[in-house]
Amino acid sequence: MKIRPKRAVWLLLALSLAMYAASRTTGAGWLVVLVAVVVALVAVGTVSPIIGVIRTSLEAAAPSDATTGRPFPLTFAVGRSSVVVTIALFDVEVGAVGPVTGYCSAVAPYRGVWKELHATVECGAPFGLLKASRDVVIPLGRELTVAPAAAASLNSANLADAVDRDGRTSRGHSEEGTVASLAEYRPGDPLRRIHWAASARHGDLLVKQLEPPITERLIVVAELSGGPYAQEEIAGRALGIVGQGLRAGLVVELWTRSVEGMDRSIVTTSLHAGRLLAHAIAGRVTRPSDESAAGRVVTVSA
Amino acid sequence: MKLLKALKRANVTGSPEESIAVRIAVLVAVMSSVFALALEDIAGTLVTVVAMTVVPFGFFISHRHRHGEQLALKAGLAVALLVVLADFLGSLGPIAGGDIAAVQVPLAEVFLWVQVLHALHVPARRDLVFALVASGVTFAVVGVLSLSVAMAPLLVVWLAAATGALVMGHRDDVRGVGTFDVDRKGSSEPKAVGRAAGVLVVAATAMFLILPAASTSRALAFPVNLPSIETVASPGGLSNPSLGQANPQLGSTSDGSGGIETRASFGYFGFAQELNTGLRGRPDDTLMMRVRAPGPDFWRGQSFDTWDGTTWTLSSDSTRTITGGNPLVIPPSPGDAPATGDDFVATFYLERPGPNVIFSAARPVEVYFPDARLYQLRDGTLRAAVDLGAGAVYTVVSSRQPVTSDLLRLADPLVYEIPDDFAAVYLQLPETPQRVLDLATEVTKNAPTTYDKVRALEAWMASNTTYSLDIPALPAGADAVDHYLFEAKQGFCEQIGSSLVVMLRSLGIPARLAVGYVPGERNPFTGMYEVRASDAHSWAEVWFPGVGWQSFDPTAQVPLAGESGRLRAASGVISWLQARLPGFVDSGLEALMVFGGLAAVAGLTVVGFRVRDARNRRRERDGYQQHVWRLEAVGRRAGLDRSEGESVTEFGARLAGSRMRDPDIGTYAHQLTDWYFSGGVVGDESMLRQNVKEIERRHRDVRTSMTALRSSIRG
Repeated sequence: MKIRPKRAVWLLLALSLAMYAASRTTGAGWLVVLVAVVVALVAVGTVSPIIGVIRTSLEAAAPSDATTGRPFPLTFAVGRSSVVVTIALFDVEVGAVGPVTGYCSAVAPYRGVWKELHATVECGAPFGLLKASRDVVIPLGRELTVAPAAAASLNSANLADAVDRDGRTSRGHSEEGTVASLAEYRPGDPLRRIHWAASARHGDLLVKQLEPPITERLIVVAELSGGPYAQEEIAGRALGIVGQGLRAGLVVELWTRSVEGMDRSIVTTSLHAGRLLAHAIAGRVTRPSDESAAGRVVTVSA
Repeated sequence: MKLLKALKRANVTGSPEESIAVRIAVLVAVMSSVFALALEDIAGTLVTVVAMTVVPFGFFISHRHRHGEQLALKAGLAVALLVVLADFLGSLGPIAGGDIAAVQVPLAEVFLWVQVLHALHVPARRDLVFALVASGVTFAVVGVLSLSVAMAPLLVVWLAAATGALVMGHRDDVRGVGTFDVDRKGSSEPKAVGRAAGVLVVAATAMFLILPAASTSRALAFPVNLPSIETVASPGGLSNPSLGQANPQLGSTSDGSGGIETRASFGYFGFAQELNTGLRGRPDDTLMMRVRAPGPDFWRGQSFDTWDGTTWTLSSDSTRTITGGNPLVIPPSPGDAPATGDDFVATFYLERPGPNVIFSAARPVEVYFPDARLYQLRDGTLRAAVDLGAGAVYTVVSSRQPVTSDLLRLADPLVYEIPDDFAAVYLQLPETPQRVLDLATEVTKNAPTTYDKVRALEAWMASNTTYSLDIPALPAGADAVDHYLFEAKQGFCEQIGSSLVVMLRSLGIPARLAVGYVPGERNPFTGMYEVRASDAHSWAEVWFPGVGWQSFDPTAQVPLAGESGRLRAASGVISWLQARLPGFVDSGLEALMVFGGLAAVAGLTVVGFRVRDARNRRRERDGYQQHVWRLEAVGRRAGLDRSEGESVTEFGARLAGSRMRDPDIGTYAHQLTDWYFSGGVVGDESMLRQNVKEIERRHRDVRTSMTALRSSIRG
């Protein structure tokens, strides 16, 4: 705990000392009353912040997901004292005239997973004559996962090529899949599956029998290395590529290394990818052994 | 240039104070100090009127122009302050000898001018804090000069305003840090100020209880005052205008039967040439004087050494003239010990015209008196050459031996050879009834020393007689002491004191009867003893070799000088409150019970609030739990149980994606989590209740409907 008295404390103590000396020479009883008041003011003003900072209860809640460099709401419930809460890491400094509940804007400087927040609580209540502060750990109701900020780094032409090879525009392809064969219409078949041209040629209604669409896989290998900033940059690029792949309609796999070991997950959303990258740690990531079978592989590393 | 830069740095205006509430609180504090000065009539009328009008105006202007630099105004105020300071220093010139009393009033005026001028430029917080501190110092100046509790209400106002200013200022500072969107506000401003003020009052009271009482020092010159100079008729003679027509010297005032006078008056018959124990005025509670002293003592006026069976007189009224500057040095009298004791400084502020005797604790060595002349009688008591009217102020420094009972036992007059001339005066006795002499011998037969004999006689009288102002008339020709001890067995201070003196003299112990006042009630706030007419008293003085005259009285609670202990500032506060709250508290124990009861009520109230808060918190928590139970019940009805370790959000998402096919369940679970873990900030509990009710309604018959569906398929 740190204690920083203001100059007013010394001024008041000097004043009370002078009044006490005067009371001991002039016999004025009122001076003793005033000394009692001023000393009590100093006593309450210096002891209360210390008690306040010890007894202040702090609860915090954060959203489950956030993105590096982007503000997210942080909720505080402050008990008892009027305090200033500082979370240097998240660029948070709020003054709460407690007991109070409210929220502020926080910004995570890098990706990661936080189950607790390290904050400094400073209290000067009730008079502001002294500031007592201490470091506290505030457990979060649920963990905060901060994803890297996505960076567009892959040449978009490559992904476009991949889309072209997917054959969407080839003959026999529909939005629902590729036409494998035709069959006679039975009641209950959707009308939009009727192949009108073939039906006209055949004389009876024929419906299209579809195969699922063939989509190319994109494997993003995020291999983090180097210092925190370098890792952050790699993760951001990886997330950018995943996002591009998802927007292009590819099946995207994200390969990372986490504390549990290798993590290979098919990701369906950028949020999912961001969470995986938030958990990613530096270390070598095994590449796919047969790239042609696995799909298109993009390795993101230093 | 450096100096200029330094000056500029020092004069940089702080951040403007935006809070009007803080500004008003400081203004109230400052104005309360101005009113306190006016109430005590300390500063001049001009400066007081100017302060009362300019200070509020200055605060208003300062707020309006709080963002401006106002260099011209600053310069003008600096010049004005220099003028005030120069005027103050100029007024100190005529004050000789470092007379602190004479400095006090000009000092108070300086502080008032500082308040006035400073009020014209208080744009920032630090300016307001300075104004607050200056108002506190002004109260200190008022406190030095105040003789009464009149300033108490203003001090309470100042304390409340200062507390409010500090608390609100601090809270504003805290609020100004960062951006914190508050959904649930904390304690309100009045509540916070009230709580801080309450804690402050408790702490200040505790501090007041442990601080030593104020005391006086001879390092300073003391206040003296004589409102009018009217010399007494005969130099060295006694004058007592307070007796008026009741003066026993003017003629018969008794009812002719030797009975007791019951005339209501604030004068005391004892301050006369003789003291007739058959007469007793009935002094009322008129405030006669205030005494600023470090502890209680008898305020001696004069003494009597000759007893004729009913009346005390002085064997010699010859006086010695004492002249000189301030202080007047008082020579010792016969029987006095050397002035080697501790200084005991007592300042007397007369509230009513009284006798021209100079009251003092025994034994006076210096007198600060506005007149350059005093008269000293043979017994060492002092008389002024002028009448002492209301408003007269003088200070007497006495030399008090740190007398203890052990010391008095050692200094026994019975083992010393008493000079004949001294014995002739202080062992004088008229023809005294034998049973009085026998009683003295009988009561003191087991007392080895003079001190023990005195205490034995006091104890006997305390046990065998009663104190009463309504005593039967003294029969003609009766001995007053004999009548008191054996017939009436009740009496007041004159009978008690006379009996003690007579019995001691019969044992060969020098003694005399002193008259004056008992210490009076100590006002714990002003630190002054308030002496009333009813405090007029007479008591015995016994001579101890090497110690001098020592006062004894079985009816007054005045401890020996060496056994009085250290006086606390709060001494007598209970009895002071008792006297002012009649019917509220009748005894110290009762007062303790009342205050204890109040404290208990306050404590129970606090506990009650805490219990209420805890219950509210529990309800809030239970509210969440009930939501979870209801969600789980919805799931169970659909055949889906919440698995261990599954969060509410995950469970809700699972339900939403199950055959229930209701995305609202997932949304509700998510909102519920947000609401609870944000401490109620995100979301609205009442809306959540509506949502869960709707979900329950929607899926009330889910199992029934599913069963019916399955049956129809089978069918």
